[in-house]
This record gives sequence, C-alpha cells and structure tokens, in this order.
Amino acid sequence: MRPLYIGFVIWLAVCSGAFWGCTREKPTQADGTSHLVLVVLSDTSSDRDSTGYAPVSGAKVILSSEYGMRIGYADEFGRAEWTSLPSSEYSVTARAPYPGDPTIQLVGTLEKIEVPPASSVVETVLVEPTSSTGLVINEIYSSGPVNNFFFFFDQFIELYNSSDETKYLDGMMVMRVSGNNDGKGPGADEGNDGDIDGVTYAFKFPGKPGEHNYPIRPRQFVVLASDAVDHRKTCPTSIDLSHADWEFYNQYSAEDIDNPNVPNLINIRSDRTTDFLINLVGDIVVLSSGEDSVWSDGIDIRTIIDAVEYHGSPTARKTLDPRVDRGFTLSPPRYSGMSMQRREPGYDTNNSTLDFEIIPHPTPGYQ
Amino acid sequence: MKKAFALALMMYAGSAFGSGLDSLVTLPACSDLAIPIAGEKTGDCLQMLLPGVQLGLYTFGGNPAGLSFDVTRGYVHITPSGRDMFNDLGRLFDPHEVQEASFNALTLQRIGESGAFLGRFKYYGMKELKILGSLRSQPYLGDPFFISDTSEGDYRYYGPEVQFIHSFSPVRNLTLGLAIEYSVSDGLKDVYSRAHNVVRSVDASTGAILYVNGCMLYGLSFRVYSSQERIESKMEELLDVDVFTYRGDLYATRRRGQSVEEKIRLSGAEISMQAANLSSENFTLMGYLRGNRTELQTLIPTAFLKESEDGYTQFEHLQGDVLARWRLSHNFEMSGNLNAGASSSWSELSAKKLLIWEWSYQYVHGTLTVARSVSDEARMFLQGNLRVCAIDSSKYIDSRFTQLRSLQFGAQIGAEGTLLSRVGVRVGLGGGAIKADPVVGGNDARRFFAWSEWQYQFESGIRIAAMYSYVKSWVHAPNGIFANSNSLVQILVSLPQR
Repeated sequence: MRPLYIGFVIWLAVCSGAFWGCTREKPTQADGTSHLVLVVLSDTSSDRDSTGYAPVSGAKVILSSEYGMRIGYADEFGRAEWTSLPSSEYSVTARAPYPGDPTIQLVGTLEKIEVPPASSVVETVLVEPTSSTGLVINEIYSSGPVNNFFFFFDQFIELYNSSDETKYLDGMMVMRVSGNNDGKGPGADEGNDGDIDGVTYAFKFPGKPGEHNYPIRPRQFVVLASDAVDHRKTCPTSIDLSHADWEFYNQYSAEDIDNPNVPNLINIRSDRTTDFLINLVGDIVVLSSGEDSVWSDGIDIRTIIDAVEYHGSPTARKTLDPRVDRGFTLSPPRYSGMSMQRREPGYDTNNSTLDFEIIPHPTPGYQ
Repeated sequence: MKKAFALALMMYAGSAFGSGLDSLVTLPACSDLAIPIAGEKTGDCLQMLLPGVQLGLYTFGGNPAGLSFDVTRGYVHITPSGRDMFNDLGRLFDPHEVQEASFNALTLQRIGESGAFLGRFKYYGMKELKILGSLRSQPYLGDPFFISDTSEGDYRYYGPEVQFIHSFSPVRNLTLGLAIEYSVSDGLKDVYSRAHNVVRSVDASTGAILYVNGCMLYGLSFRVYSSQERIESKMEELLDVDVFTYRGDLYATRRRGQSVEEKIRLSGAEISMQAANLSSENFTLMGYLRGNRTELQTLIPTAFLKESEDGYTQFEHLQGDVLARWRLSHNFEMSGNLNAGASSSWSELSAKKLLIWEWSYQYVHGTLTVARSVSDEARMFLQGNLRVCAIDSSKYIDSRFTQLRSLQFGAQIGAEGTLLSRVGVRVGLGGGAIKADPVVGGNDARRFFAWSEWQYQFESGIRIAAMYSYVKSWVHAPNGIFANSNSLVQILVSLPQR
C-alpha cells in the first residue's frame, strides 16, 4: 500500500512541476506602436528669395517594408506621418511635380530606415529635380500565360517616352544580363571599371546611335515582342502581339519566328542561337544607347538609358549596380499571366522596388 | 474586428463562448433526468460519448479514473452521423458551408468488480465549402497568425480517430485511470494552391480518485496534449505558390516558391481536481477546478530539417464548475449548474520579441433544469440558462483595442415518452438571445432550435435510434441580418453486452 501512495505523490509532483515549470516570458514591448515622421524638403538655395530648404507640400511618399507598401502625402509643412506602425526596416521614396515644368520631377529616396518598437523616428527626405532622359522600360511581361505546357514565348518589353521631345531608337541595344555568376553577380561592376558585366543576350535596333530614322514620339509606348504573333492561337490564355512595334529576331537561329510586317531587333552575339527570352521570375533587362556595343568587357554605365532588375523573392540578392537601379521589383509567379509595370507611365526614381508594381494582366502598348 | 473577437473561443472546449452556444442545445436526453424507455432506464443519448452519465466523474470532471464510477453496464454503439452547416455570416476565413459524415464505433465494458474499459474508433470525412484563402484547418485558435493564399475554394478532410480509456482499482477506495486519444486528419484544397494539410494529435491523461468515508470522492487528473499541423502548398501546372503569412489582421509577409510550407504546433498540459458528495440518493453535488496552459508555435522551414519560429502564442485557462441535482419527489427533479472561467493569452513575433496581441476573457454561466413526470411513461422538462462574459482585447500590431461585455440567455422546453411500449420519443424546442455575439461580431443575435429523437427497442435488447436537430440563428450585422443554420442527423445502433 505504502509504495502506491508514495508513487502517487511522486506522480503528482512531477505533473505539477511539468505544468508550472518552463514557461516563456511575455515580451515587454509591443509591436505596432512606432511613429514615423518624414519631412519632405527641396533645396531652393538657387532661388533668389529662398532661405535654403522649402517643404514640399502634397508630395507622394511611398513607404515600403517586409509588409508591403503604404502611401501617404505630405501636408503643407512637408510632413508625412504614420502612427501605430509596426517595427521594421523601411525604404522611402518621395515624389512631387516640379513647379512650372511637367518634364521634371522632384524625387528623393531614403534607404533602410530602422524603426524600432515604441519609438518616434523623424527623418528628412531631400528631393531633387530629376529629369529623366524620358525613355524608360515601362513594362516587362516575363511570367508567361496560365498554361500547363511550359509556354512563355509571349514575353514582351514595353518602352515609353515620357518627355516632350521625340527620341530615336537607332542603334540602341536591349540586353538580358544574367551572367557573371562567378563574380559579384549579374549586372555588377566587376573590377570597378564603370561598366556592368554579365550580358548574356544583346539585341540591337537598326542603324547607329545618333541617327534619326526610328522615332518614338512624346508619350508614345513601343512594344518589343519576343515573337510578334497572335499567341492565343497556341495558348488561349495568351495575348496577341501580332501588332507589336518591334520584334526580337535572332538571325543565327533557324527556328526563330519572324513576322515580316514587324521590324526587327537583331542579335549581336553570334554565339547565341535562341530568341531573346528572359527568365520568368528573375532577371535583368537593360536598355542602352548602343554607343558601347562591346558586350564582352561589360557595358559602360554612362551609355545605359534604363535598367530593371526583378526577382521572385523579396529576399533575393540584388546584384545590378546601384547606379543603374537602386532596387529590384518583385516579379509575379511564373505562368500566372501577370506582368510588371511602372506605377504611372514613365514613373522613374531609379529604384525599381518603388517604381514598379505587379498588374493582373499584361498591357502591351498600355492598353 | 471579427477575428479580434474570435479570441480563443474555439480554443478550450467548454471554456469559451462556443460552449455557451452549445449549452443552448443541450439535449435533456443526455442527462440522467431521462425516464425509463422500453422498460429499461437507459438514458441513452446520441450526442454524448457516455450516454446517461453526465453526472459522472469522467464525463463531467474529465478524470479517466472516473470511468469505473460512470459505467453501470457494457454495450457496443455504432453511430453513423451527418451534419450540414451554413454560414451566411461568418468570419473572414470561415467556410460558407460544412458537410460532414462520420462513422463511430464505441465499446464500453465492465472489467471485474471495479474496472472499466472504453474503446472508440471514428472515421470522418468533411467538406468545407468556399473558404477564402485560409490554409489552416482551424484558422481561429485565438492566435493572430494566419496563412492564406489568394484563391477561394473547397477543402476536403478525412481521417481516423481512436481512443482508449482504462480505469481500475488496485486497492480498495482508490481508482486509477489512463486515457489516450490519437487522431490523424488529411486535408486537401481543391483549387490552387492545392494546399495539403496533415494534422496529427495526441491527447493523454491520467488520474486518480480516492473514495473517503463511503460518501466523498476526491479526484486528481493530469492531461497533456499535442498536435501539429503541416501545411504544404506546391506549384501546380507550372504556377508558383504565392502565400501570405499574416501577423494580425492587417500585416502580412509574402512567400513564394515552387513549394511553401508551414507548421502549426500546439502543446499543453492541464491539471484538474474533482470532488463529489454522494451521501444522499436525493441530492448529488459534484465540482471540479481545472487549469491549463497551452503553447502554439508557427514554424517556417528555413533550410533542410531546420525551421524558424515566426510566431508564438501562450494561452492560460482556469475553470470551475459545480453541478447539483435534487430529487424533490418521486416525479419531480431539479438540476443546477454553475460554471465560471477565465482565459488569457498573449502572442509575440518571435524574431523581434515583440508583443502583438493579448486578450482576456471571463465568463459565468448558469443553467437550471426542472423535470416532472406527468405519467408513468411521459415526462416534461424546462431548462433555462444565463451567461455573462467580458472580453478585453489589445491587438497592438493592428492598433485595435476592444472591450466587450455580453449577456446571453436561452430557454428550452421538451418532453419524452414511450409509445406502444417499445418506441421511445423525445422532442424539444427552444431559443436564445445574445446581446453581442463575440464570434462573428454581430449584435442582438437570436437563436431557435428544435430536435427530436426516436428509438425502437427489440426484444433482444438491441436498440435503434435516430435523431435530428436543427439550429437556426440570426445575427444583426452592420450590413444586414444574416442567418446561419446547422442540421445534424444521427443514427445509433446499440448492442447490449452481457
């Protein structure tokens, strides 16, 4: 009898110990209690009557973090404010129209602002007049349509002239940069010699840089199709690119489709025998003036007009030189039929993370 | 708001508001108030695991050692059942409709003079229709972590469940008991991202009961439980999986890939003390005090065989319950039950050690039942219940702070009797009201229910019973009045054991 009762007491003690034993301490700080104030200022010291910096009222301020994006607007004092913000690392871009000149934007960015819990953080965003060349990569459709037979040949790249003057595409190059994987990575400045390395495909518009035969008018969209055909005949969920403005054509390929009604960009790498196709979820697309066409030793950064890096994961390693693109955009899932497009036509702060968004369907020619 | 109110309502069976709603539809046939049917005092009830023994140390107090006291005879029950539930007003991740079919087989045997054994097997199939995004089999466990994709679709679950309880007396006046339950559930979403859920649960308890002075019972039991749900979405027809892991209602991180996986691990322990006074045949008093602590972890794989904890939630619950029954005369009985509990929980974002949600919940629930025999073969009953609760919720990450005080009451009336000496009938109907429904966030909820049970007993002792219950509730939500309904059909085949 006695051992049984003793056993019962031991059992009770063990059970109670297990129950009240190891437990985790409740955190003392709460999330969602931070306060962030961003003051958007522009340098007006060049104005005769100015005292130095002036608040930019109405500036659009985009806050991005692991939780996605939030958009706010600066008040009359240039203040954009967020309360009850979760603790995270934020990136900020502010943008406002430049008074009197619609071709110029006031743009400023801040990277990696650490907002601790239960804190109040005040930061200043200095915006500067930014006049882009006016020619940008406006949309990249890489994911392919919804299908189950690996169809992704309806890819296209859309260019846009946001300026008020006509641009000319003569001699310009469109490149895919996915090499240099043994070095710093695709698009990095290997050797710090002022160029980006890792060009894997390079296609060129006809003519030479500086010539004026292939115009792109102000506010015009231009579609560069991998294959300028109606892809719906092959894949019903795809799109019609038979009316594209340009078509990538690899003259070294015996199989590449060539629509005779659409002018071609041609391949300048004879060792490449496939069409201009980009990775569905992660790649770099570069548009350059074509003044540096020797791709093997890298493309001179000064000749690059626009470049966009995209990845399928927000934690992917960014490799493109920040002088060309300071961030990368998140790509849609492969074979989702979704596309990547600038938030507004021509919207360019040189940071694809902030400039681009995913749209549910491709819009070649901004349809 | 709706999710904030959901709290751990489904977390602790018998502790939260969910049980309060259930108490409205407690079938009188489940209690010992049931009168003899077909010449035998069976009290069998289709909804109870152990029919006719609600006032028992196992059934009421949860102590496996109490099975010996609860069981007076052995039997085998085979119970197929079907359930259909419509949710016009549900929470964000609630299914629009639930269809369930199950097959239960239960055997209960006396072992010797003072032992008992119970074995139970269940196999169920369930279809949850029109679930918006949620990939968790139970999204509302009282934690702020949700995983969802972007599609609305149906889920199918199926799986077995087994349970064994053994109760025995090694020495006079001391009874020990051991119970173990194991279940596996397999779920599959029928559209992209075709998530595959596997839920494994194990629940073990042990207890002891001391019989003192021939009239007092003192019990102590300890229970541990653990479950893990593994959710895996895989690329389908070349389409990458795109999944959002929510922290609270507003903030989510995005994960994408050819395969996205998450685990929800729940574990906890419970200690319970019971006492019963059996000194009088006309008055029985029983009570228990129970406390438990539960941990819930959300785990995300980071590398092969490695995973990191994304979120952590801790629940604590304390509950006391007293049940008394008086036999006032040979044809009049009365039963009273008072139940009070307090729960609390907090959740943290593990990597940052930041508190993102904490809530507390207190309630008091009382039920009073009177039953009167109107003849030798017919009896009527009346039951009323009242519940008050208070909820405080601080969802810091969403900056949502809520306080709710709610009053709930209900009543039902019913009768049971014997027809043609072998046919037993039980019927009942009732209703209730809730001032503020903490589950779906509506106000002035109303509830109506009706049920009926028919039994036929063969000469051999085999009994066949069928039960149908229907519950309809209306909720006044900000954008209109919504109705939810719940239908349950059960058939029972009872084979007596000699």
